[in-house]
Amino acid sequence: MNIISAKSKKELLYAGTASTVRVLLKQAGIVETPIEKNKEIPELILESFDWVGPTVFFASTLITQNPDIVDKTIIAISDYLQEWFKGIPKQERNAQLDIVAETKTGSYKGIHYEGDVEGLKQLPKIIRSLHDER
Amino acid sequence: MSGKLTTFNKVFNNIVQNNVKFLYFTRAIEFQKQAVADFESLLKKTSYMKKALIKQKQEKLSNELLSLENLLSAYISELQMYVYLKEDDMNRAWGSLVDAQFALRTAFQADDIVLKYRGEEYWQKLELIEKSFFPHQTFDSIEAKVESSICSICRSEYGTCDHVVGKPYMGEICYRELKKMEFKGLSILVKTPASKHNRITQISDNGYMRDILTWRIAKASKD
Repeated sequence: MNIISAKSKKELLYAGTASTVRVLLKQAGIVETPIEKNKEIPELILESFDWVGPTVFFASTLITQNPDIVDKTIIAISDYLQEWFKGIPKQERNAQLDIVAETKTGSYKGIHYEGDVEGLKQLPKIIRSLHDER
Repeated sequence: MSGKLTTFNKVFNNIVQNNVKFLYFTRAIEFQKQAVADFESLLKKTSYMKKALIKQKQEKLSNELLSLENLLSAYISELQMYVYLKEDDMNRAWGSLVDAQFALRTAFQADDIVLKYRGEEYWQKLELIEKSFFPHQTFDSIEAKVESSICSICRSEYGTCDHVVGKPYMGEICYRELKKMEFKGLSILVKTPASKHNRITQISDNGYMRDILTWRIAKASKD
């Protein structure tokens, strides 16, 4: 969640939804690699109906060798959010998700998404175009 | 069980139909208090039926009854809100409205059966009540650093099982029980708080603190 602003490993915090996203990815058959060895990074929970997702990193080799993984990841999250937001008025459904994608040349590009669940469906195309950037 | 369920459905629909007519401010308080009692009795019957379905591992049906339990809780809270409004207890009235909204949201998460009871229209009605009966509220929220939390469904460390927050499992909504946590002591003004119970309740005005809902003087300000 604060991987860019944290000054040391001790300051690192996951978004409060990180554990949930890990379960969703596991259920979708996606193998995820956490950045820590043990479960040593705490999560920051904010009491809000906004859904603040974790930072998801896509390595270049992953996108090249398994192009479907980007779609599968976003679908797993957006399907869950369709259910999670039930009972909240459509205009108040706000999801946030950070993505970091490695480009073919080995640099990193980040995007911050904030909006409704429908808009998440545009992300795979954007992530692939980031990957193709030089 | 199917016979019992059919009878239950008839009783449920009958009691709901007889009492939803009291979900209006102008209906007399004595009828509204009676409607609360009727809905509370029906809520007990619904919970009893849900337990029987859980024993039979009927997940879909138990989630439907979880949804209906929460719909009834929303009706009860809305009626209590009218009673508190009439008794000039505005803070409790606000609390009841928030409880009604929360219960209705849980009803939606549990199962779509709530749509058969005009759940979407009902949500809009509660939103309109919030905007027309009460002044604009400012909400705050808590940030907490969590190192350990438990899954409410299977009691294992959250994230190590297959259950996810907000989804229904055999008549229960999954939530996280926070175990090892540290409040960051930060209160942030938020537009969509998880709990509308967390709000600014008083405001300073010319040396006095006024109740935001009633504008009555709550106490002398220390400023």
